[in-house]
Amino acid sequence: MIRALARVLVLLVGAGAAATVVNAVRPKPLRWFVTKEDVYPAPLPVHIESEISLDDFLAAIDHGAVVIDARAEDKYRNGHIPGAHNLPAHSIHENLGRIYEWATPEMLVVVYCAGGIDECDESRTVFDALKENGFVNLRLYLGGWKEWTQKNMRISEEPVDPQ
Amino acid sequence: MTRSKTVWLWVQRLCRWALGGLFVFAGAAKLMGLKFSWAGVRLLLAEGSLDGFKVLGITAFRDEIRNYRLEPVWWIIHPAAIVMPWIEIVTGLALIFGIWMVEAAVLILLMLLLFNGLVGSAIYRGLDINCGCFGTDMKVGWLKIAENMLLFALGVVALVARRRLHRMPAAEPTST
Repeated sequence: MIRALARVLVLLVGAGAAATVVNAVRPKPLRWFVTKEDVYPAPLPVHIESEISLDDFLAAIDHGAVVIDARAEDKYRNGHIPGAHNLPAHSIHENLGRIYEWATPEMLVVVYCAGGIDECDESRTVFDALKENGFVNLRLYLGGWKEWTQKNMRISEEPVDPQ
Repeated sequence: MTRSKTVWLWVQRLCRWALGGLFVFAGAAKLMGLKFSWAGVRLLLAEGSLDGFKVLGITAFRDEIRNYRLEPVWWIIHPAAIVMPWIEIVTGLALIFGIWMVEAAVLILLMLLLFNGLVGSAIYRGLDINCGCFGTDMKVGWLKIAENMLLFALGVVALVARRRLHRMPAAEPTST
């Protein structure tokens, strides 16, 4: 019995040692110890059910939100919010499956487009498509690219995903 | 070797190799964050295309554990994401090569019970999530529980076969 327990311990310790070494040499190691907030962030304070301000959007990014740029590909390539994935509204139904590469239906997802209440139909199109497909934690950043650039926020031209 | 011994030997081997091989694959898939659907498998077989396969990294497995909403034991999620794949790989390899077979099999059976507990809990709470198993897009559900029970049965059969083999006489009586 003691020998069996010792062998179980050796197997577990061996697995733990391999895990520790491999995790340590990863480009982005997974942290062993985190806070509860890191794992299960508290719900964001949102003033309107789904439409959020720039401040709320920035807080969402800090909380690990998945950001979706609903504009066409060429506009995305010319500049987008850093870390945003491109899911153009005009081809949403053909490409909707790509969302599952970046997010699960429970994750916080924020969609933006060109910006302005009257100029953001693209983000609403993507928002509605995601909602219909079971995404339950969606937000719309209506200020969009327009407000982002007006506030001189950092932009990126590097695509997040391989084309 | 008697016929009975040969049969039990091969039953034990096939169960060990199948269960061990599945667990090595499952552990490796979790480490890589491998994601695929059965449509992707068909595409690979038909056209040799890997378009149906994605490699998302270890954070994908961490997120799948997180989706089980384990708030009371939130502190275990990251260590589990780091260590669990390696426990699967190490025990799977031990089982394949017949090293400390009983101990490896018992660990695998315990893991299967744990997985079924988690899946059952997710079903009870009405969570509509991926099970995080083998890299497939399989959702948690009764089919997943049945699948795990089948693997559990493989492990039990392997252990039973080993016990039978040990109880058989070592050498055949020679006729005079």
